[in-house]
Amino acid sequence: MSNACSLDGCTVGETGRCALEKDPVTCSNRVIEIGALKRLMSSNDGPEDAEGAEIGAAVLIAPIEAPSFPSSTTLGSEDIDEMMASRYVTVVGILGDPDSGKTACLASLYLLVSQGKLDGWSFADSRSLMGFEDIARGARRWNDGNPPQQMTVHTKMSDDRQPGFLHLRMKQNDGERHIELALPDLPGEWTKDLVRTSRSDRFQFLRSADILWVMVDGRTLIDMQRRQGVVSRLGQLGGRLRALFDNAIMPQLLIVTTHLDEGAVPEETLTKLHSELAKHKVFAKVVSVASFSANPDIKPGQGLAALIDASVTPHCAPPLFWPSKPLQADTRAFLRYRGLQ
Amino acid sequence: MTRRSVILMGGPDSGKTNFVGRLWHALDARAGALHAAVQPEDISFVLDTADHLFEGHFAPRTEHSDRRDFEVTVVPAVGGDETKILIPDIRGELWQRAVMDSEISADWMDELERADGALLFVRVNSDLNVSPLDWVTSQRLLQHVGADEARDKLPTQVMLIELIRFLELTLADRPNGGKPRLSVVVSAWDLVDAEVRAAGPKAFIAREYPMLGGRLHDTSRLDVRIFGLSVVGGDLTEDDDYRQEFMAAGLDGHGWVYAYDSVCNQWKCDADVTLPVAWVVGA
Repeated sequence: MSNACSLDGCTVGETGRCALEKDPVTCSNRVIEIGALKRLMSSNDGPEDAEGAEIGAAVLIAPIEAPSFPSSTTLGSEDIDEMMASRYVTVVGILGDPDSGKTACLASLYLLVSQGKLDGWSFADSRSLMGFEDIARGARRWNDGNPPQQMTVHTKMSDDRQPGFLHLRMKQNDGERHIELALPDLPGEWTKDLVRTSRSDRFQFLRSADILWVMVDGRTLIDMQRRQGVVSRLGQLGGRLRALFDNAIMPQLLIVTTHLDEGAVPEETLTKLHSELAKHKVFAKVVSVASFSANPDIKPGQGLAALIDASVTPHCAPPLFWPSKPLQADTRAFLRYRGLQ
Repeated sequence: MTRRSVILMGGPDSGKTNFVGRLWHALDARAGALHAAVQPEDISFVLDTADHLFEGHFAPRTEHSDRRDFEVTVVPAVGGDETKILIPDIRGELWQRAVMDSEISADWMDELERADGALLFVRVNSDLNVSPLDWVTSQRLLQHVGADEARDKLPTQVMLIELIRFLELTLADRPNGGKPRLSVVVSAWDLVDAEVRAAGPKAFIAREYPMLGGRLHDTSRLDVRIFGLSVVGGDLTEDDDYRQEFMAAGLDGHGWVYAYDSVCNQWKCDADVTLPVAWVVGA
């Protein structure tokens, strides 16, 4: 509403023209006297004089914004980069189809940490605490059938779920070791698109990932009708990932099978899965988790501590920085080195 | 004279107002680590609060929306400069809202930026404490789209961790370059059993609020100390015998703080309820 009119959405103050095509001079919604309105309209027609600028400029009074603190919902890639500049952050690449259990896994990890029940680890800090809380409450959901297309750059609407990273800093209970995890919260459709159409632009961050989690609904690997298809798709995903990393070293891949409470994936299916991945020169370790559980023998959150351990433990021994060789009495290594130049 | 400001933070029903009422009485008694140098001009707020205690019950939760400040000039018992401290009382709901929206009014932001330190309150057995989500609730919330009353309930430890983040972002270093100080006050400490009391409020926080315990240990921006507090030394609500005894004797000699004695390496009960503030404003 302009300050010349009582009608919500009036455009006369801004453009000098009525959107309803009424004559502003005779309009019944007008609230300022004719002279002022004419001055307002003439100021919109020609160069602004001081008086006209004042009337024309104050169409809307800028709302007073309360000071705010940085949001603690999901973080953008640049936030993670900033954190990585000062300390080691383990970036986890999480992929998986819709309903594979990615959100449930993140929610369950958060519940374990918030109750102090994650074996071997305890909470130290999180810069996305409200993001975790919202995810565990199901308070934010992807728009059904229309998920976001890109990773968020800056946090936007507070009630809008944006793709981004969740941050979790934890302390190892026996010892002083701290780890920081950057866990992406992404729509499953992105993984689907990656497999189907090789759309990998949104996964460029995976190049700086330390570990990859490919989430898969464990029930689909048990079901006779579906498991062949799922194994085949996982193999194709492995191929896409191999292509994404080109000739670079691919981070360790963990296949995370969810819904462990509804049964363990048969060994023969896992063997088939490994051979399918091996076709694309991809090698993976399988970790089974139960984010939630209706099975009294399986605790909710089972397997998540092992998943964290596997993610932050080097999967191969680091090369020796200065390998030692047996001493040979008649050689001088340094001189020989110079001699080779 | 130095002017210092101490912010009291905590959720609704965390014991902030009762502490301020009790604090003035302790400062005026001149028996603790901090003494009142002069009688403040306006003591209506603390007198109103203390009246509830004198009548044998705790002051109810702060309902007014206006800020009420308690400004008093104090001097350390061991001697030193006079310091004017400003302790604004604020409804716990305001802090709760600030966490939910990541916003705070301009005058409170100014107050935070001016503050030298803060007291963060959490109360034992408060009906308004919110436990972390469990798997059953979370699964229900994840499965059911739509409004659910539980979606709005922020766990107490999450709110307190966010308040600590706000303090880290706003509090300036102390004049001597040291880190700003935070006293974490576990109020109604008289309600815990002997075993929990002996283990101390730090262990209590680690057990009841695991994330808060970890966060307090992990802050590199704040200097943190944890205190247990009983403003009157007993339960005026449930323990009628204690209430009668308290009403007969008054505030003197009632109320104590549980503080860690690093010399003896153990938690000790101290009758000086000014300690959480004295440490924050002290040298």
